[in-house]
Amino acid sequence: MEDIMPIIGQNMLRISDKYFWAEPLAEYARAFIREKQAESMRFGLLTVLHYRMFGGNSESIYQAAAAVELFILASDILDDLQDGDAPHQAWSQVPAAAAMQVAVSLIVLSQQAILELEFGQAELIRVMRMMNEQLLKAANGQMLDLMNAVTDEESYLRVVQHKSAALIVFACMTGVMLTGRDWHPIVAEYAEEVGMAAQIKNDIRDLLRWDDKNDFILRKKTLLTLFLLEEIAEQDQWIADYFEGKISLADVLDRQQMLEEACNRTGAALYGSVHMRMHFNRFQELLDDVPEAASDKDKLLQIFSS
Amino acid sequence: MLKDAIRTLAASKEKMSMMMGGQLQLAGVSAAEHKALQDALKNQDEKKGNYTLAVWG
Repeated sequence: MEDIMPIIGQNMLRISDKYFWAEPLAEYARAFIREKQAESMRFGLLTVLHYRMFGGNSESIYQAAAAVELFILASDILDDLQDGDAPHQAWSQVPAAAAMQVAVSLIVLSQQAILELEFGQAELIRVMRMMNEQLLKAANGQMLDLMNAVTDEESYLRVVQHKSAALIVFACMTGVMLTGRDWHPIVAEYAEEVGMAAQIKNDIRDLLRWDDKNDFILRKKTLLTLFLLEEIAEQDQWIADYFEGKISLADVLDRQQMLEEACNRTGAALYGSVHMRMHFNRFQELLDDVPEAASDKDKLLQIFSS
Repeated sequence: MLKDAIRTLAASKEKMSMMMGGQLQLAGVSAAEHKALQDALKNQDEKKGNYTLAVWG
């Protein structure tokens, strides 16, 4: 599957060059696409793999995968601009207003790329409808996340289901539905499960890292921080105090080791890992219920593991 | 309940090693939770063999 990534990247550049001529839109779009290409294109790979799994054989699928990746790129840019925590990214090194304009333009470009696909009109309309439903779901999740609207496990899982899982459902289902099939409920469910697992994995990383993306430093409510705060021991009271704003960042900056120790001692890190595994195991179970996936199961698992 | 079971395990090295050895049954924990718990404990020490999920994003 690795050999497909350059093809998806070339398609993204081709579509961008076709529609973007005003500078610096054209230049920035190219630079951002190249940066994305150098990182990963797993969403596009999911689209191609699902298309092939369900019997599709048109070369146009690479443009569909490019459309998926253009949307993911736009959403990465907006996410980084909102959080302001990715100074190394190309889009953080240009004026924010210009980066924002590129991101919005990429969203429209993504839709245009789908509309221009050489598939039947009826299929394209069904795919566009599915695409917009999933992307609107993700938009709601993103806003809830941005507002730190999580108060308990239930609301956390709802945000993750909307924000992260919807994008994986969108990528997989684009491939399935371009073969002429209807919405596939099992694919949707396993995509959602693996999306939940991936987000929890990110949350484990983001609690144990020690930089400005650390969820504790950002006072972010996740499965792990909620667990940590739920039955707080006297020696960990400083964690609750920080979340409640009773103490400042300066008071906790030298407590990385103490936080890590609390995560291990209380079982918070393990709790996150168990939830992550439950979703990943459920994904694998569901995968076994899709006969079309049987011969490509290893490829699919590789995409999620790489 | 899974949360209680994890707090119990985290507080007791003995119970944790019994769990890792498959010698501990936890009350109120479903079969799926039990399997996930064993997988998670297993993956703390070994990264080879089965596929593990990469960080996305």
